[in-house]
Amino acid sequence: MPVWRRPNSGHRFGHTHDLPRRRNLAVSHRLRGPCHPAQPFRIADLSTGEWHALSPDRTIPPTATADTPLDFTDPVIPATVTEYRIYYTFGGRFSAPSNVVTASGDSDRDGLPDWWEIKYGFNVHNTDDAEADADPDQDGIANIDEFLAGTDPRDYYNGKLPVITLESGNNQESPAGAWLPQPLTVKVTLKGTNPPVALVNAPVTFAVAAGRGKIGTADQVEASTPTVTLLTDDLGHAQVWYHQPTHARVRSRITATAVSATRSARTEFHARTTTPPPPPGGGGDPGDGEPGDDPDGDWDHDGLTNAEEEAIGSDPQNANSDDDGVPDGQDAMPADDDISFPRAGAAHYALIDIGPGSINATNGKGQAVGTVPPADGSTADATAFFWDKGQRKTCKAANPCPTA
Amino acid sequence: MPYGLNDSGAIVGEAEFEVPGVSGTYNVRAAHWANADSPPTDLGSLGKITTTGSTPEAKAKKPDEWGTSRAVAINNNGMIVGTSTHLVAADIPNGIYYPVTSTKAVRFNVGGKPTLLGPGKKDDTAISNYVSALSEGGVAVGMTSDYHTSPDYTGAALWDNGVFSKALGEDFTPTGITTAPSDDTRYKYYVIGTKKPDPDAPAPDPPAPAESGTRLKLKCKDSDDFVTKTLPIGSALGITTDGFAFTSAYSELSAASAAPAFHEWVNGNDEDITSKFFPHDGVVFNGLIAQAGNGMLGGSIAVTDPVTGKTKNDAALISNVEVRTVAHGDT
Repeated sequence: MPVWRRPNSGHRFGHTHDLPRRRNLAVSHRLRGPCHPAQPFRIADLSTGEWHALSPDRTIPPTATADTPLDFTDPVIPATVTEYRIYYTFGGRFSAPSNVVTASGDSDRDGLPDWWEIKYGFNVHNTDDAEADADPDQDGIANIDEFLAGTDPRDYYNGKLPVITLESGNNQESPAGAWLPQPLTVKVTLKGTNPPVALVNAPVTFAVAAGRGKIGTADQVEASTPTVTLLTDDLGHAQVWYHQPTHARVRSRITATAVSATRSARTEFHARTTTPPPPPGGGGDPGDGEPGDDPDGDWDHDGLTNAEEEAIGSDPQNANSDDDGVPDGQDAMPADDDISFPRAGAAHYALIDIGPGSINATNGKGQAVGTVPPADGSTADATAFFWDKGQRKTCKAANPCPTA
Repeated sequence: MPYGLNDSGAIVGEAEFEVPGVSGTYNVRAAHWANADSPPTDLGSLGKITTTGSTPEAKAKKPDEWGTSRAVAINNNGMIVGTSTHLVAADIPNGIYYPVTSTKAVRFNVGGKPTLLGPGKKDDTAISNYVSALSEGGVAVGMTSDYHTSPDYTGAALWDNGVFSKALGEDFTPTGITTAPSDDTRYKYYVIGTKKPDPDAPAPDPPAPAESGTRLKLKCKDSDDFVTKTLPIGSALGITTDGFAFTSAYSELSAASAAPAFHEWVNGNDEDITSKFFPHDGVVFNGLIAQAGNGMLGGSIAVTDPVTGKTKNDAALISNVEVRTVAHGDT
């Protein structure tokens, strides 16, 4: 066991053993040189630089001599401390530190040493066996087996060499601010296998390397973080959607990486934003034509046809008609900039807020009639309205009565 | 006040019209707008339009008055139905005016007089009818009360090609009707409504809501029978022409959880579609009183955006309803 020596200190530990965290703490050392009794020990957390007292506090026995072995039992060391040195004070000065001490107990008796649990972020006081049997990296190896094998319980690959390949979705184009029409899909297989063996539950991290677009999960909901990590499915596939940046002609690069503790494999997708195509016969100017001439077209590529946009009152030539940041095809209220909660994935409903009042009847043309009560809430003087293709008009009342 | 709209953009409802011959006096009668830019046309009522008498005393002495009316639906063939109420008699005992009125379901005719749908004669005050919905095939549904019978009868009313019947039952309140899709070989039309609770049934424990759920009644093509399907959730809101039945759980919920839920009944299955309208936690959906249209629903909403916290109380449409048909086989 090496002895750490501090020149000119005169006070140093002889040697220490690895310390169990709670029980049977055996600090076996010899004090060299003059020793002032009744001085508390302190430990220094090497990872944070913080000082901690042992609990209960431990002091050097008054009768200790330089060669007196000290044997403390059952101290509590803060759970976050994994490597530390022991000091004691002498005459207001710190002693020389001990050598590095490592906690090596098993507080919860689950077969996983405390230091190992702490290192990998487990609970050292979880007394059932669930933690030992858990498999957080879903590689099929339980924690207890990972410990015995000396492998990383949070590394799916554990030395396996992944191969990641593009499956589909590369080199797509769509308008600025819209989703790419197809998802980005990769496949992860085990290197050296023929035919390639798909890796199931393998973590794959997607990140936007260039372009400032956003990654979306399976139902086209933008992720709140710039990178998204998914696990491969039973076929070894992982898939995300890409929401294009808001400027035209921007090239994006989206990486997909399979990362292990020792090795990573990466591939990347490319995408580009376009501008809305001109209307048929429009001579290149989107304003020259009428979307109504092309009802099945989707001039702004927002996922709604021109006819659908006219019916619900959004702009067929603007992918984000209400300028609320949510493309019309994903906006449950595409013509309302106050409320824009997204449409549910694959849902066939859109809620269209058409302004004050209440609708009384609709027809097969997407038109509606309703009433607007006056400010005082009375019904006697309610005003009738007619709604058609995003436009409201007040119905004519009986002459000379000004109300409906 | 509009209540009906067809695919041509014609609107029906009610509006205030001046009583003929009584200058400055108005009452509410059924109205027809050829389109939203047209002035309303007076569809009249079953009451007699008088040309004299403008004071309450004069009206009381001339009980055959002009009456009020409301048109509730117009189909794509231009058929208009609604309800008319008119004064039949009045008395002034001790100087207090007591009117006796008759309310009847009618078919309105633009440019002509309303036609009585029956049952009961025009001035029979012991029978009252009203219309709530009309199909493209010209079948109307509503309610009727008959005090000539013993015991009194109050229940659903059906007018199929002008023929009145009580076939929908006494415990049923119809709210919508649609002609069956053309590929439906078994049924002629679908009627949606709410089943009234059985007054003789034992009180449920825990207490049940006042209304006991929505029913679809499917009219057989080859007989006069109806097949009843139970929609287990809530009250009927309406049915679209492609066979979507929409219900609300609102009336079935306790006061402690009064948020409505929306269900669709399609392909023989009841499905909670509330989450499809409002897929995100924190969206407060305060209510929708929907009327069924041909593929769209409309009503009023109050929603609060979970992000901005803004609340809106507005008219709203639910659109993009996929065209799917109700299953035709099972009963």
